[in-house]
Amino acid sequence: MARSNSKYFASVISKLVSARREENIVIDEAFKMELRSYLLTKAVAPVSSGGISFGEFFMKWRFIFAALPSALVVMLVAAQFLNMSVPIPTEQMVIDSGSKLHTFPGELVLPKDVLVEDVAVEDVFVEDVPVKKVDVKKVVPFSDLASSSAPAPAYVSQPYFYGFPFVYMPREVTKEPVDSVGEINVVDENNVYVAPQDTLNQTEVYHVNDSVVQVPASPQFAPNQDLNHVQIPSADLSVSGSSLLQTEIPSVSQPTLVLQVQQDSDVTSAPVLQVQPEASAVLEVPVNLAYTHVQYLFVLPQSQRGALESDIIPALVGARTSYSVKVYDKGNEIIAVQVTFSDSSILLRYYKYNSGSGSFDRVQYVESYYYDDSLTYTQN
Amino acid sequence: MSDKDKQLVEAAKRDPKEFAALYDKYFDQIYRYVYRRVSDKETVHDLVSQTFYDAFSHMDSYEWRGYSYSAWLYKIAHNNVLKWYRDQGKLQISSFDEGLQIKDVGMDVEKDVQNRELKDEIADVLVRLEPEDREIVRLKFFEEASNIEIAEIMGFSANHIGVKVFRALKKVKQLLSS
Repeated sequence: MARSNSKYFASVISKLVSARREENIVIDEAFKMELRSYLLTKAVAPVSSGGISFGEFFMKWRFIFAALPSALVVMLVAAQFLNMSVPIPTEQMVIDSGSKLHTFPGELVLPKDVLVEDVAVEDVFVEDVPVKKVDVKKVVPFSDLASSSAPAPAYVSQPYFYGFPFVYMPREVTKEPVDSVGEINVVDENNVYVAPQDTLNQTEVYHVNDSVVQVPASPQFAPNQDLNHVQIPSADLSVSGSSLLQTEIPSVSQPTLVLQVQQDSDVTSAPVLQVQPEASAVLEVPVNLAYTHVQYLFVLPQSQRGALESDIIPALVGARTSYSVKVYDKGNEIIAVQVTFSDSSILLRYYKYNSGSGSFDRVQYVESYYYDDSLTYTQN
Repeated sequence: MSDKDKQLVEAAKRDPKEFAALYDKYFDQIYRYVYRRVSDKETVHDLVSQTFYDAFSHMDSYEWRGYSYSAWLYKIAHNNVLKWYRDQGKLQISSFDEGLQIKDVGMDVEKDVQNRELKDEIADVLVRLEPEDREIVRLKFFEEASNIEIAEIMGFSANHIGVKVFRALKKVKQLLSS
């Protein structure tokens, strides 16, 4: 602008520039240094709140600061109306009950007697009861009873884990032949079933008022007596002060069938088989109690069924003719074959089908139970 | 803004103590700017102090917009002067008579007389100018500010500042010739 209008404003610009050059403004050096040191002092001083001093911050939000006490009062009143839980200092919850009070950071554990009806908390105070293993044995062999001088087996405590944030307490275990129990009666590698020992000659022992009463465990058969009648020996089970007395002997009659073949005078007619109960005995056949039953609890292909029924089951039952079989799936192509015989004994085997040979291969199977804490408990 | 000014500004943003370099560089200009517009020395000190304190405390808010850092300081000083005049309740009367002190030229009496005549003539013209034109003339020929810096200081559009300078000089010429 000045250049483009230099000719037109030459005189004006000349006078203005001359006036500026001739001006004499004296700088106050003392003031200059004083102001400089003041600013440097401000620079060294810590600047709070991002360049805003606390005073400025307070003035900016002074209305909020003023409203804080009122807000607290309103919150307390609202808590009373709404019955809200208000944090109580720990010191106010100490109960003078003489019990030891365990306190931890952030939580308070009261004595047990204080928490009587609190079921949820009651679990925390489960007593450290030793684990018991109960074996239910109603029949005590007479030979063991006779040798009662032998020392009783020492009590072996169950596994007990310390140092974990919980107490491992396995349930009382009662050994009974159930489906979930693992393999039993494994005594023969050739899959030949060996029946349990016969207990016909053993007796049951009952303890009644410090006296021992021995009762045959099973009915005794007299070879010279009628087979249609079963005699059960009587025993005095009376208890002093009790009216319990066995007076009658139950009898069991085995039914019979009488088959009679009659030849009619008519030659052309076919022979007729007549069944005449209570008639004169011509042929007497006892009732055949043999039964075989195979129950599949899952879908098994027919070819595998054939292999199972032709090879595996006969090998398991041997010469037995009364049995029932349950076949169920255990996962991972493993099947369980459970044979229940007439004497309630159970044989359990596990097999896996071999598609190459077309037969079942026996496998060992151990059931495991997994807990959330990654501890593995194996039930034998 | 020169690279030197950019470095000084960035250094002052990182470390407030570095603001001393900017202070040393621009203090005299701001001091003279304020001195030319107010009548007494105490007011000059107050306004200069307020100007540099504002610049120091708002250092983080300064951004490069195409004009020098000195223009930013001039704008702060300009606003402080205007505020002071508003608070005093009086028009912004030029203190050019007091600020435009003629240098002591020694024993050259003839030249001294000529300078005093020039001083009176310029002072009379500036007083008779409109405040906006007067500020433009001062910034242009006494503060040696560019048109962009004048536009930034006074809050004008950079496209029209050339026309405003032309009109202000035209009025000065008319007043001087009259």
